[in-house]
Amino acid sequence: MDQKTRDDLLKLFQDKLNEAMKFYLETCTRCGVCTEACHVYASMGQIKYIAAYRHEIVRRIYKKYFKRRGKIWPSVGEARELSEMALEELYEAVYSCTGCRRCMVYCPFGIDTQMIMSIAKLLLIGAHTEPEILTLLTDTSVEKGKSLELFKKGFLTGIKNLEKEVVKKWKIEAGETAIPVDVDGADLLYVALAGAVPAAAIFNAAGENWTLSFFEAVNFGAFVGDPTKTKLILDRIVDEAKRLKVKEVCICECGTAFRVMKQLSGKQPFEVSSITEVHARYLREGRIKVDKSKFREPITYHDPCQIARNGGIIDEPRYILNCLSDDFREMSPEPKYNWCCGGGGGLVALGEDNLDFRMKSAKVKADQAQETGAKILTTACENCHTQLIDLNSHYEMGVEVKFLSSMVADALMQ
Amino acid sequence: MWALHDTFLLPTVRRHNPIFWVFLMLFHISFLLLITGHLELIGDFRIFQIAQHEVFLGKGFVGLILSISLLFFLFRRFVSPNRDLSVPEDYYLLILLFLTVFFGSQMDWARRWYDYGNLPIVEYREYLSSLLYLKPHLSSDLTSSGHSFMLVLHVFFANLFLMFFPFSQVMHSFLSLPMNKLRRG
Ligand code: HEM
Ligand code: SF4
Ligand code: SF4
Repeated sequence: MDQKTRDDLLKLFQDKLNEAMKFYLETCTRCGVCTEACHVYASMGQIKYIAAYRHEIVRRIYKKYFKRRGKIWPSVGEARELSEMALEELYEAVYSCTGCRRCMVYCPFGIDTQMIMSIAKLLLIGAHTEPEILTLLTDTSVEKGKSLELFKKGFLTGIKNLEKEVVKKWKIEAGETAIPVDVDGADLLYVALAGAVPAAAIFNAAGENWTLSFFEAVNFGAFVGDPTKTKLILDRIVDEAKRLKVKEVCICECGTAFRVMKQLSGKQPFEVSSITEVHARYLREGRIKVDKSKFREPITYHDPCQIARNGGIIDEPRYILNCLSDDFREMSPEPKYNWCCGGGGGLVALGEDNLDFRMKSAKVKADQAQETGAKILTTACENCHTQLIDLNSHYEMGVEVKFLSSMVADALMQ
Repeated sequence: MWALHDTFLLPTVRRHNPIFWVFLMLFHISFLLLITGHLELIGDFRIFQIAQHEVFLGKGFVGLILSISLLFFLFRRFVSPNRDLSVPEDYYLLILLFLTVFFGSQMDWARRWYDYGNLPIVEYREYLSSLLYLKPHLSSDLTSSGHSFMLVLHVFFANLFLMFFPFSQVMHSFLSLPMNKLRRG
């Protein structure tokens, strides 16, 4: 690696070094309490998958270039040069970490691995060695926002087709639009992923004054760890919400999108909620009713890390499930310590390439789900959903993987 | 409030590694006592002397506990996977501290086993304050009191530790509270 590249990369590193980040880098005593925290280590048992080991890879470079002691006596802290090899190590560390922050609840100091890994992600982008597919997806997503007019038409045709489906399945009264788009002054802006059918049915049943966002929720910028693009993708939703003057932005079943929206959007004139919260609210207020006899088999719920541990939505899904079924089975350990599905942090988006790793690293998750004896495994995140389906077939778990919102829609009483 | 709880009672360690937790608590509490004990040596500042105490709080047990827990920490790091996580710094620190604490408490034991009589606290004070004024001065009473080699080693290692301190991970002592605040939001 030549000097120029290295300097550029170190500049990126420097930008990341705010007060909190420095604390995270300084404080670790390598006590090893976090050893058991990571599902990858718990499933595969390799040292390199321990959270603190992942930090050390970043920390070595930090010591080398940003600390005097790393310059004077590098070996005492194993300070290491930023080289091609270091980049490879960074890649290994960061694209085997889902950013679930389970390790953070273990650490006596609360060191945030995900945040330290964000340095690594940025360095990889700087060196153009990040997973191409993620950047590709990010850029497509950004492009779409730029040429809104062009893609609006296709979008609206798509919606018309979806509408037919909604009408067919949940007979709504004539004259009503099944999927409203671009409604000025709506109460709630719903940011969806590919399909919006079950969600639409529920909003309509609850008599919500809602409108569908032009944009998809998922933020690939966050997966690849590019702060500028993350912001771009986030901001256009914020702008849309402001333009339509909505009171609430409801994010569909996407953990990353929810957390990015909730924690990075800053102070805005609207509330941010997840679809799970909204559904629980409708049920509590009696705006929708569900049929308990619809699902007779035991149900368990996988807490998506970004929504539960990192987003604080823990009671709501349980409320919904207790409305849906008499046989809801909690996984153990409890939500705060729930195992990650193994698909977060962009790993699922990498697709087939890392299927093998994703399956091996999430063995503990499969075991945890099976121990409940449930036949329906439900969750509230697109990423988790995909990963759980893969796990289901890989480990022959014999469960049915469902979205919580689709279950609510299916059990809806007219 | 919860941040204080997290910082001083280490609930996460207790849950995940109870034995380690016991040693950690013993170690840190003893360390606090130890610092209190050493304050006696800086007797010039009255505020530290509100409660009367001896240098050797706890009759040498503090030192013993510290030595044992330090050994425990050290051996813990020889076992995988902690071994692979540790960097040389961690070992140096522990060894250094162990040596300091070991010789420190030896002084106390030696005093009692061989009946040297009282520690000449006054002279220690003189030595420390002379250091402070950059005029090192050792009174001959000190060097002749029989266990001086232990004292010299103790002071030597202690100084090494103090030099190393701000550059090492033991900075966690100051950072721990803000960090736990950060987590609790
Ligand atoms: C107030 C909050 C504090 C917390 C939460 C805390 C926590 C910890 C933890 C988790 C360890 C285990 C690390 C290991 O085994 O390496 C540790 C070790 C240690 N702590 Fe603290 N500590 C605190 C304060 C202090 C203070 C005030 C000192 C005194 C200067 C201190 C000195 C040490 C030393 C010397 C070690 C052993 C270092 C090592 O193992 O390499 N700590 N502490
Ligand atoms: S954030 Fe999750 S995946 Fe990453 S090291 Fe921590 S426990 Fe492992
Ligand atoms: S638990 Fe925290 S302090 Fe201990 S090794 Fe892990 S990250 Fe470092």
